[in-house]
Amino acid sequence: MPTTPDDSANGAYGLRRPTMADAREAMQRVHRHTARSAWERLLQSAGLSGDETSDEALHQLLTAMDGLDPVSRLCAQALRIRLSSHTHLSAAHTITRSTA
Amino acid sequence: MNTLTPDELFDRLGEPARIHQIARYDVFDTTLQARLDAVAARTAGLLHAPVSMISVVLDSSQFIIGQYGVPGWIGEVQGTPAEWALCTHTVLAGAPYCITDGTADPAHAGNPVFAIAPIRSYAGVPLSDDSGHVLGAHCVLDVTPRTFTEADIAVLTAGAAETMHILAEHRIAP
Repeated sequence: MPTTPDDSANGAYGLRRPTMADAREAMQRVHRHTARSAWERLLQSAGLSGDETSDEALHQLLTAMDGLDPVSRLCAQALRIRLSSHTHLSAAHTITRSTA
Repeated sequence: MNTLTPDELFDRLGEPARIHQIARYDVFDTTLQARLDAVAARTAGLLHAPVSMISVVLDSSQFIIGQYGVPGWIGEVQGTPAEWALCTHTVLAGAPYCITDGTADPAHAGNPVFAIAPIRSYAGVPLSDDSGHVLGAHCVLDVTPRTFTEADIAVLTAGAAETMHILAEHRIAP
């Protein structure tokens, strides 16, 4: 989950908002040899195709990760912390700019 | 850690055996977190530090499971991205890690956490269990530059031992 030029400019200190692709990478990282089957079970459980790009779909995926197994739940928590950090930092930047 | 890209860092922290080890504990249990809050509060008091934390470092974020005085939204969110977390250094080192003045230290001055939160100094010790994996860290933060002593590290180490004892009572898998 590297930084992007757009996010460097948005006040999130270069933190990029997590996506479905990041969730898939995280699942591959922690499940390694069983990652493919875990991802397929996860998508089935969440009712998603994996190609979605919305925040809503990501939240749906994270909820499904909570119920998949304890390791996936930790993965979901890590992504939630990144999501919330991005939301707070972006909001703080918006307030600062609007009051400047 | 400074030489690692974020993806390399996440791969290292997300090593399956280490994450599986963390997953053996019910770190989401609010009863456990309340007990660890008390450990953090006591450590902060003993070291006259405004902030103390107990956290597990996951693949891409630090997850704070016990806290005292953690400022702003970081306490509310219960964590920070792993690449900003000072406890990531302690986990990777597997040994006590101290920062005397983060804003003046070239290794840390670019870390956004020093701009986001009113902190300057850090001391952390690793949380390790019988598997040999370093799961997280117990730390204190101060708002002024501070040189931590061996006695300070001893207090943190005692807090870390108590933390592991409490975690063992909240183990959900053998």
